[in-house]
Amino acid sequence: MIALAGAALAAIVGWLAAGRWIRGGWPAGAALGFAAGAGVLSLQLLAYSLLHLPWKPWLVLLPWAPLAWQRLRQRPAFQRPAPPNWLEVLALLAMLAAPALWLPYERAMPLTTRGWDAWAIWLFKAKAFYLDGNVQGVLARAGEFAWQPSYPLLVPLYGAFLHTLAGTASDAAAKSLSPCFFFALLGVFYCLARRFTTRPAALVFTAMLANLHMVNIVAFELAGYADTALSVYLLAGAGFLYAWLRDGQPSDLALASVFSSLAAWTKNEGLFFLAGVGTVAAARLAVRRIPDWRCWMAVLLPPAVTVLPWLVLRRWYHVPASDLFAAGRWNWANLVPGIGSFAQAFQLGRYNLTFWLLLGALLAARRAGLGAPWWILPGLAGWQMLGLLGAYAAGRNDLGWWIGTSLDRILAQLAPLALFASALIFGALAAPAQTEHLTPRRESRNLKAKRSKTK
Amino acid sequence: MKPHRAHLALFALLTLWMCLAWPHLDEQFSTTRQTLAALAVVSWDERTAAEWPAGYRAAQAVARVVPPSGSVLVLAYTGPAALNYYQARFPYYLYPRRLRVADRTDAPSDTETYLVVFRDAPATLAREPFRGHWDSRQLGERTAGRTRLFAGDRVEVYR
Repeated sequence: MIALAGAALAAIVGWLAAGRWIRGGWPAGAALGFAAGAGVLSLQLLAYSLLHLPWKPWLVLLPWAPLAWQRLRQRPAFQRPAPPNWLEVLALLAMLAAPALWLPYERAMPLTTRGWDAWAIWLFKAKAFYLDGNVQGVLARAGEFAWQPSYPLLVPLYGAFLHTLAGTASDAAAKSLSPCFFFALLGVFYCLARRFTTRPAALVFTAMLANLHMVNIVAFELAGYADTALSVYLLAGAGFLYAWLRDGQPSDLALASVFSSLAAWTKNEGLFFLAGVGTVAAARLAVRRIPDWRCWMAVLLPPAVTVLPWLVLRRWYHVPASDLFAAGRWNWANLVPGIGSFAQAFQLGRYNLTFWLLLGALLAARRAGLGAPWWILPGLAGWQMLGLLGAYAAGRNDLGWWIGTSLDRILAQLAPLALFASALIFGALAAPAQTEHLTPRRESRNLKAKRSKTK
Repeated sequence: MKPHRAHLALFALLTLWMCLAWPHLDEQFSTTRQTLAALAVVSWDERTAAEWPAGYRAAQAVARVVPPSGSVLVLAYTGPAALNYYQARFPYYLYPRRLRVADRTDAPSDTETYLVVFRDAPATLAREPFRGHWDSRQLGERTAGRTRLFAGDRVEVYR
């Protein structure tokens, strides 16, 4: 119950915060709202902590009440979808298969020996923050514990919010965040895929993602880890960046920047991702000489709000950095086994056809005619793998142990992005995109005018 | 591609995907059934205790008798890997108590008010033998002047 209440509240807060940029009916509102809301709530708890305000659920939700009242008066109109055809029904049924098997298992299981990172890092911090009622208490004792004190705090603070909602430190409530992010992942994937391809294709690819073994393992067996949350933010960040590069709508740039910043606020891998997205966006704005200050604000403001306070706080409390590159030792010989280990991505048992389809998509991209923006999707996946290679070459950990304990999860973070890139190519080859109904009329007219001029 | 052909291609792709996913789904079906049969009827506490019997019961005992402001030194008779595990997992259950876990009876205790003596389960020790330093006479001397707050099968708590 707490998990559901927490997810619903996060979705409402996220929808209130970012709803003006979100389009695409209730699945988009719920999934993107939850993803944004978990980030907003975590930042709100951080702010309350710094301002010495208590973490009471009503006090956390109070600032959103006027906005909720205003939005409710506007009565958001959700379109009734057309009835599904046979393939869509089949895809919806297939989509339920893995979650129906995994969710009761996850709900029954306590924190297990296998989920080391959950109770040693993410949920430990969540519980400690909740018991202290602030973040400062734990940070002041940073050198005392086995956890990674410099890791970003989205997941621990959202976990602390769930504890606060439960009124007690509840393992079951806190570890439910991973399944919630898994369902958000499916929702975000569907919304993005639906925007650029047909509904059957979007549903089929979402069903494929729902039954992807490593993604299931990370979300349910390793519940309490931050990887599923990160995969949501990587997919949303990359997806909306693609949308902005393709359609040029500032709202997409804002969402790309918000979700990429939340990726950086979730895990250190997200910082690397944010650097990639920020560079592409800034380069595009500079090259096209787009003078709109709102676009620049959209690029700069979310990272400033999410990343900077944490960097300052870390320094203030002398939190030892886990920066992989801080040691300054480079072992280039690690690159060869590092690159070799990427072959794991093609194991059918773990990732099904995900990376095979991506390979096919790369070969068929030119024929599909999606143009340069599409390349940003595999490009960002490659950028993340490049970052991983850099970490391997920094040689801080024993390489064999590191590959064995991290590569599976990192590939699982990137699998939704890889599948999304393939879905777009499939959509472009198999059926014309039907996206007009999701594009605001005025902007659509502008786009049409622009396209006809180009022709 | 015509719509019905696109649908057939999607159907083929989904079928192939589900066939490849089937072994994992089948395995998870059995795992979930067994897990629910074993765990769904017991409380959350009992589930955690079933998963980590010796350590969780010890942590519960310490949490009962040591106040949150307490500072604890745990002398653990356990193997090195298990010690590493306990160093990370005991704090999860015992925060905000200050905690140090050592596998040596001569471990210095400068600030710790509470002393916990923990002996791991025989099954765990059979898998990984103790490799620290354990002197029963020294342990007796360390606990002699202290009040025993709790004594269980595997754990004793002294003040």
